[in-house]
Formats: sequence, C-alpha cells, structure tokens
Amino acid sequence: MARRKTDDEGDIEEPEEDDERYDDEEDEEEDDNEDDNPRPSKRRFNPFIDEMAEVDDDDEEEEDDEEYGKEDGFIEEDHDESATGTAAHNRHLDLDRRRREVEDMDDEQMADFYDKKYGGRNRVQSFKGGAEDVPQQLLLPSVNDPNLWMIKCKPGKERDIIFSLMKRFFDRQYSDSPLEIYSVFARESLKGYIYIEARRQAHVQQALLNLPNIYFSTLMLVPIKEMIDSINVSKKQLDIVQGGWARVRRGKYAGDLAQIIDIADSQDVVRVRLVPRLELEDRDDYDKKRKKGTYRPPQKLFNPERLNNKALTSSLQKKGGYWHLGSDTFKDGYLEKDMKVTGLTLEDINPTLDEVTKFASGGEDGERGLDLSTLTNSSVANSLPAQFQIGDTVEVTEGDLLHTYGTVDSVEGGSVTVNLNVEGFKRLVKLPPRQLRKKFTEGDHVKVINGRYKDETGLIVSVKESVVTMLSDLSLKEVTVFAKDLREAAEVTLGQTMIGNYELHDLVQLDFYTVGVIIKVDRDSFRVLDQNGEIRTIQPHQITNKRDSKRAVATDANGNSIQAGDTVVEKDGERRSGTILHLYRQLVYLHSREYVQNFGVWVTRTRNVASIAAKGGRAVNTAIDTTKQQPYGNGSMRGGFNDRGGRGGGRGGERGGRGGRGGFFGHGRGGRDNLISQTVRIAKGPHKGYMGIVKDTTDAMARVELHTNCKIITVEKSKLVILDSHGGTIGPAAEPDAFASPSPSPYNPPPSTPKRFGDGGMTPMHYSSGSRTPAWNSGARTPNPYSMDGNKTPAWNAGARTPNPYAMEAPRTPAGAKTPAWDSGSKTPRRSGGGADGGEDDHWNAGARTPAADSRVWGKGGEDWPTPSAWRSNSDRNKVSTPGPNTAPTPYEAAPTPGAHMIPMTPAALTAPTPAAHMISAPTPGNYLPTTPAAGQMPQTPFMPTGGDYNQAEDSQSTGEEWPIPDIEVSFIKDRASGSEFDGGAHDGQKASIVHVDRSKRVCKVRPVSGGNELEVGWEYLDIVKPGKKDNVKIVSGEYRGQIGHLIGVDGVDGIVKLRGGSGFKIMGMTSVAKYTGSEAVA
Amino acid sequence: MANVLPHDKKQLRACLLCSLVKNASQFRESGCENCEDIMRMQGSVERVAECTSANFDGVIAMMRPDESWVGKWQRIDKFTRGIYAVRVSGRIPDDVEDELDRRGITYRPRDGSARD
Repeated sequence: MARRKTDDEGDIEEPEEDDERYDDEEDEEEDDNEDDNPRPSKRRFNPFIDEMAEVDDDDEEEEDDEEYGKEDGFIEEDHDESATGTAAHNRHLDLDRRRREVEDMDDEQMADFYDKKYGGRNRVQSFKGGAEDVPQQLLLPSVNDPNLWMIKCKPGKERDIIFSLMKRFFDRQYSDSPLEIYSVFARESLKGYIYIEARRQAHVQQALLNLPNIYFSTLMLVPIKEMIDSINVSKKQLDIVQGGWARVRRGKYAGDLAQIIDIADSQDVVRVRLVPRLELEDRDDYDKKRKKGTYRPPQKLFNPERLNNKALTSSLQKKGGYWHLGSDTFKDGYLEKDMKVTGLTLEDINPTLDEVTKFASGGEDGERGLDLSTLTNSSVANSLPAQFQIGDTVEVTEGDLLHTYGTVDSVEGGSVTVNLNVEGFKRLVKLPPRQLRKKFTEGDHVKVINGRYKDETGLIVSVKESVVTMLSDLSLKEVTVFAKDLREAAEVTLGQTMIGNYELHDLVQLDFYTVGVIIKVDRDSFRVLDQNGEIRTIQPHQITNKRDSKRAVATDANGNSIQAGDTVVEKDGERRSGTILHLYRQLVYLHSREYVQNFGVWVTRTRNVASIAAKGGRAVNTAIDTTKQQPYGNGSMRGGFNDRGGRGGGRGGERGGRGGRGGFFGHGRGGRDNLISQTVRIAKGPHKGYMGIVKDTTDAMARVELHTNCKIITVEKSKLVILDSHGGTIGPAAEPDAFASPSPSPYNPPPSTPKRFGDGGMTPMHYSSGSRTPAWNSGARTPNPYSMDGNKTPAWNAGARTPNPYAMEAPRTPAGAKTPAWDSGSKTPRRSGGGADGGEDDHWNAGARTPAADSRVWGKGGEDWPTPSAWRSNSDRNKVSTPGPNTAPTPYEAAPTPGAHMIPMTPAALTAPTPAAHMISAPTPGNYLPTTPAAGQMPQTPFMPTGGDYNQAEDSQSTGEEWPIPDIEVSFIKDRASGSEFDGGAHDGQKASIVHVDRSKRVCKVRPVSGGNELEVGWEYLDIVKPGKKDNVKIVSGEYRGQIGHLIGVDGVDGIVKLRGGSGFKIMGMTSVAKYTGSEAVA
Repeated sequence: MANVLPHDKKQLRACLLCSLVKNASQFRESGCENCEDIMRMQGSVERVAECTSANFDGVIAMMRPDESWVGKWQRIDKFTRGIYAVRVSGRIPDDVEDELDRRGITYRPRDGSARD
C-alpha cells in the first residue's frame, strides 16, 4: 500500500524520473509500466516485488515472507535510488551482467533455471497430495514411526476429545509445554476408543491431562502389527445404488419405501421417489386440531386432476415434466424429493412385493409386469449371501457373466462361489450375492423363506425374471413372490399353524358374544371364522382365550349325540360332509379337506347335521333305528350303562344292554385310526415299493411319511400294505372294496364309512393289539371248527327273516354249552327269552345243550352240517332265525370282549366283502344277530342297502359251507355232531388229501398222506388241516374259494395270503385257508 | 491456523480430495488449506457442496503430519495440521478430476475404494 502511494505521488510530481527508472528496468517491466495507471494498485505492485525478490534472493521461496516484510524499506530504497545516482548505476551494471549470464545459458540450463525460478513457487501453493505415488505397502508402520496408544473414553465424546486436543495443540504450540503427540484419531465404528500417536507414553499422558471424558487407566499401547487395523475403517460401506431402495426415517413418510433416483456427488444427499401422502381433502379446523399429529394421509399417487383441495390447486404449477405443489415436486404421480442420506435407512430394506408394486404400477396399472421385473432387479441387489444355499441354481444378473447359470458351490462371508456353466465349461467363480439371482423353473416345488407367505410351499406356475408366481399348497391360490424369497423344497408344509398358544382349528373366544375357529394362521395374524360365518383377521392379542369343546356333546338332526371328531353330513343345502371341529352351543364347526372355501371350515347348526360315523366307533344310527323299530325299545347308544342296568331286568333290558354294550365298548376304542404310526409299504402307484410311516389318515386316504426322503405324501389306504417291525408284510391297510361311497341317506349305516373298517378290524393291528386281542385269539383257537361252521351258516337268511328272539336264544344255548364265558352272559337273557318265547323254549333249550342233540333232533338231511345244520333245519322248519347256533359256540360270542360285541354292533363288519370281514363274520355271524337287535331288523329297516352286503357275505358263507374242495389236506376227525367216528376211529388224526368231492352225497374221496388206498369219507369226518406259514394254500371259502396262493404269515386267526396272480396280500380267516396239496405252481 | 480448526461441531464437512474436516462456512470463507489451488471453492457455496462431503467416517487430529505414521498412511503427511477424516464418501467433481489429470496427479478417492 505504501509503495503504491509513493508511486502515485511520483507519477504526479516527478514524471520524468519515474520514466527514466522504468526504462532502466528489464523488458518485462515495460508491459507493466504501460498500463500502469488504469490498473489496480495491487497488481502493479506485485510483479515488481516478485522481480526484485527474484533478482535479489535467487529464488529462495522460504524468504518470501521476509521480502514482504521489507516493503517499508523498499520504499526507502526507492528514494535512495533516486537520490544517489551511483548506486543505481551499479545496480544496472549488475543486472546487465546477469542478463548476459542468462543469455549465455543453453536451453537445458534455461529450463532448469525457470523451473527453479517458477516451479518452486508453484509448488508452494499447489496441491501436495499425490505428488508421489507410494504404494501403501511401503507405508506400513515401522519401529521408527511413533507408537500408537489406545485409550477408552466416554462413547459419543470421541470427536469432542479430538477437537479439544487439536485446539490444545494450537494453543500450546509456542508455550513452554507444547503437545508432543503426533496425531489423535477415532473411528466411528469403534465407539468409546481413541488412538493417540506419540513417541512416549508420557507425552500421551501430558497431552490428555485434565481432559474430561477420558478413562486414563485404560491407556494401552497398540502393537505395531495392529496399527493398520486400528485405522483402517472396516465399516461396511453404505452402498447407495441408483434405483435401489431406502426407507424414510422420520416425518410424514416415516417407514415408507423410497426409490433412489439420483445421488449427489458428495453422497450425502439423494433424490428419492416416494408415493405421496397428500392431504387431498379439505378438513375443517376442528378436525385438524383433533387429529393433529395422528392423522397420516394414505399413500396415493398424485393426480393433478383429482385435486379437490382448493388451497392446494391454487398453488399448483407445471414446469417441465414436473408438477410443483408448494415445495413438493411430482412426476408421474410420484413425489420426488431430495433427502439427506442420514434421514434414510439404506440397509435391510426388504421391500415387500406390495410396496414395490406401487412403484411399478406406473401411475395407472400400465405395463405392470414389465416394470415390475425391471424394478425388482435392484431389490434383489439387497439380497444377502445367507439367502443362497449350497446347491441352489442361480443366474448371474450383472457383469461379464450375465445370463450364465450355475449352482452354488459355497457361501462364505459376503460372497458366493458359484459353479458356473460358461459355454459348456464349468468353472468356479466367486461373485457378490447381488449379482446373483436364484433361478427357478416352472413346475419346481418351492418353499417361501421370507415375507408374508413365509413357510408356505407351492408349485411354480410362472417365472418372470425374479418374480415368481406359485400355486400355494395350502390355499391353492396363486402367490407371487420374489425368487430370492424362495428355495426349492420337497416337503409340503401348510405354513405356520401356530402362533403362541393358538393353533389352527382352535376354538377361540373373540369377545363376550363371539367365538370363532381359526381357519388360517398367517405370519402374525389369524383368520377366524366366527359364529356368524364371517371371516375376520385377528391379531393374537385380540383373542380372549381358547375354548375347549372336546367334551361338548350336542344332538344332531336325528337326535344322536355328536361331538368333536365325529363325521357328519349336512341335512340340507349342499349336503357337505365333514368332521366336527368344535361344538359351540347350537353351532357346529365342520371341517373337510374337500372344500376349498374358507380353508375347508364352515359353521352350521347342530340340528342341520346328521352324524354318519362317530369318532369312537359309537353305534349311531343303528342304535337309534333299533329303538324306533324294535319292540324291545331301549336301544340307547349309551348302552354301556344300560347294559349294567338291564342285566337283571326283562328281556328288553337285556337286548338294549346288548346293543349298548357294543356302544359302550366301542367308545373305549378311541377315535384314532389304528393305521396311524404304522409302518407301511405302498403297493401301487408311482410310489410303489416305498416304505413309510402313516402320519395321518382320513377316511380313504393316508398321509405317509416316506422313509427314503421324509416326504409326506397322500396315498389311498387301499394302496398300503402294513409291515411289522422286521419289515415283514402283515397285510393290506384297507380293502379297496370296502370304501363304498357314503350313501346320502342319513340312515346310511356306518359301515359305508371306511373308517369303520379301519377300526373294526381291517387292520391287522387291530387284532394284535389292545384288549380285544385275547378274545379273538382265544376264540379263534378253541372252537375254530365251530367258527368254521358259523361261516357256513344259513342263519343269515334266517336271521333276516326271523324275529330276534330266536336269534337271541339260539346263540345262548349252544354257547352256554360250550363256553363258560358265554354261559354267564347268556343265562339271563335265556331265562327271560324263555319266558317270552313260551313253548318253544324247551325246544330250544334242548337244542341248545349240545349241537349233537340238535342234529339228532333237527338234522334231517345229510346236506346239513351237523352243528349248523341242526339249526338250519330248525330254521327251515320254524321259519325262525337261527343264526345263533352257528355263532354261539364261537368264542366271540363267549368272549366278553369289547371287540366281540362291538363288531356286531357295526354292520360294517358284516357288509364288508373282504377277507377280513369274512374272518370276522365267519366266527361270529350269529353273534351279530342275536346280540344286536339291528341285525334282526334288517329287513324292515332302512338298512336294506346293507342287506345287499349281507347277501354278499351270505354267498361267501354258503360257498364256505361246502368247504371240501380237491387238492387240500384234511384230517380225520370225529363227527362233531354225532360223535361217531369214521371207520371206528381207525384213521383219526391221520392226514389225507382230497382227491374228489361228491357234493350230492357229501362225501370226499381222499388219499391218505401216509399212503394207502383212497377212501370215501363223509365230510363230517374231515377237517381242514391248518396250513403253516409259507405253506401253499387253497382257499376253501369266501369269494376267493378255489384260488390257490401262498400263506405269508399267520396272525392270530388271520392268515395273510398272497394269491396266485393277485397283487398284494389278502387277509383271510384261517378257517377259510387250507393246505394245498395239488401240484400246480403257486407262485 | 485458527481457521483450520472447526469452530463448531455442526455442519462439518470433509474435503473430498484431502479429507480435511472443517465447517461448511469455513470452507466457504477460506477454502481448503491444502487443495484450494485445485478446488477453488472459496466463496462459493455450491462449490463447497460439490467438493466436500458431510458423509465421512472417523476423525484425525493431525498435529505433526510430516512425522506421523498416521499422516503417512492416510497420505496427508504433506498437508497442513488440522482435523482430517479417516474416510470420506463421494468423489470429486469431474472438472477437478480433469485438473488433477492435467497435473499428473493420481486421484485417490477418500472413500476407501482405492486399494494398492
């Protein structure tokens, strides 16, 4: 400044002198001189100073400051210059000399000179970083570097401490005690620690002295090796991707999904696209006040034409493609907004498909599909490596390897190693998860591992980029999910079935007046069908409590009691049948897998349903019908009690008791299908040969968990073969024939429901387990022949025709004679029966004593068997039912087992045209009839349909009657009826093979096994030789009569037979199986 | 020197080239002590916004850059004393990158992406 002032003065006062001086200067100076006046003083000043400095100080940059400092002196110098001519002259000489020097320099020297002259100067001001390119490897800390100390501080105060240390450093810089430390730093990712770089610990302590928020005692040295780790911030870089997703942290849009459409260079501000939440409706002041802070406008795309808020419309402007409304700008219906990165959540966004769809819809459901697929690319980018599993098929979505496929080889850290198939070559490539997408194809069976549909499984029906549509196994609805949320899964799961205490199909109390049944368990809510038939979505906390209706009993349309687990059919409407889930007052909740609506659950009135099969094998309609039709009345289902009560009572009481007993015991049987938890082999269909365990059963189907891959599949019971613990075959799980379709009639007897068969004895398990077993077995052993007889009994016909009393009596007597058990049971009714039947009683009694007697008295024709024939002839003559005799001697009758009694109760057994059924019916045909009034009633009751079944059974029995058949092994016995022996007992115990059967004479030609002549023997002296395991057998009765096969095994009274040419196994009563002596190949 | 030290804890920004941390207003008033030659953000709010970032991680109080290992490691050993960031997100504007290129200076982004 001072210089300029003097200069100016000089210009005015001494122009000549000034000119003269400038003439003496270097050429460069002249330019400056010319435009001296109009220029700002500063510029004129600077070049001069520079020049002088250069000349005087030979480009010593460090002394620049000193040059500036000399300003004042310079002025004086100037004055001196003008004053003393000699000094100026000397100076000029000196300058000339230097100029000559410069001129003498060659180019190289010149360059060097100028570089020294100006380059150095430039270097002072220029950017110093990056001048040298030293690899970081060479910067590793060495022992010559200062040490690094670490100290704990109060978390959050790191910056404060560092700033105050920096300040302290500057403050004390020139004091007596400057800070001797080199640097201090802290990392954001390691809260509560700061690092100090210093030579000595003392220096650190001195520097930190009296600084708050520091925990002095925690000071420790960082080993040189760990120094790099302490400064290298390993914090995961926030990866802001254009097109990626974020969530707004605060404000009106808090929690909303935002799409990043632009990122500022500094990476701290991004432009996001949001679905606007505009207050489009005018709300009056009162409303505003009241709802202030709580009201949040719903998300809705911006449409300027739909604005009906006047205040808003007035400020609406359109600029370019944007609508401006106040401070907001809208494009394509979305709000675009600049937001700070700190106001956004960028990690773990996991946008749901719904949210993404809002962005994809492009205003008005335009090209949704197309947009969606492009949009989701970026959302897939959020995928974590954990979402990939070894073996997943993946597609590369980014980079050079775009569109190549491979399988995941391993997943570690943040990268996925993929075995890629590149142009036919397999190679392992490590890729970041965001460049990968799981690849699925239509038809894959997948499981949802994330999101709203978590844990549901389904079949993929379409794949569009990363959007996959699958058909849910549970709801049979199409579900659209991201590929990243899927994985291949073999198993079928029905999704979550439980939240907290509440499970699928629980009866829950919603409020004081309302109950409902959970029909679907969502991720965090239930769908509940309430008592009005409406579906509500309920949060677990909205449920008051769970109700238990296990013990609830209601009456159905027919007055039968029904309870949870029973199968019922609607009386009107769609006549749907289902299982009772719950009873609530007058309502019944039903479930059936056959109906998709409301997940197979519906609610109706108890009076609108009719029970078709009770869970526990309780006799249902039978008993009721009995009461209606029978003179004996008293056929209550709950007969277990009646039984006791009725014992000592009249005949009717006894009957009822009998009927009741069935119910009573039946009750004890439990509702569980015995097939459950059995090991089975699948005998037919695509899974033929697989073994598994039955997890659950329905009427006709079983869900089988395969041993081989833990898959649960649903198989018809008829295709299952039960296995024992060693893998040996026990027998079929069910007979296909048994599954007669349920009759629509409410009177349709239980037999038609296969379940009954399952319960009643189709499953071998049944025989070998539980309380029933001994009875069966024991029964089977002793009087087997008799049961044999029973098989043939014509009593069936008789039974159908005749009144019960006879049936009743008939069994009583012979039974009494033979088996004590029966005796005790039979005495009472017999007495009473005697009373009722009057004169005939004696007669019967006589007959009852021994079959033999009967045969003497009644047996009139050779055609009849001694035992049964007696009764048969009886019936012939009297037209009276005499099934009893046949069965009476059987242990079934005698055995006071639930099984024995129960079975008769259930016509199921009777109707079953299966071997199992035969087995049952064979030993105990009479049993049913006498004991269950129902049987006696058949002709009159709507049981007629089953009558057909009876006939069928009858047929088999009538064939069974004529058991002798060629090529079976027999043994000689006493005639059971008369006690007489063939040939004086000479052959008793001997075995023979039947060569020929003469039906008209009821004799057989037999060839003794031991050799000898063929003999002609009456049938009555022959008995079937029971085949042993693995023997070849011939079936002598039943629908398979005449067929030959192989006896696989014997289970009590049952034989498991593999028939020649037949598939699978048949379970037959051992009485209908004879040892085969023929020469035909069996296998 | 006093102008190097941030006077406020708010509105701190880090230079994208040298990672010096100052208040936004300080950058506007005096630019960056190290890189003003290249960045020329003095007096321009927009320029400051372009060349500095509020998104940085870790702070270093650099007292003796020339002798400090931390300074060497962070490549701030030639720079002035002051507060630096350990890592700065973002990249310098294109014109600055061109300028560096012209001067033969390799640009090392401060966001941790540079590896050598």
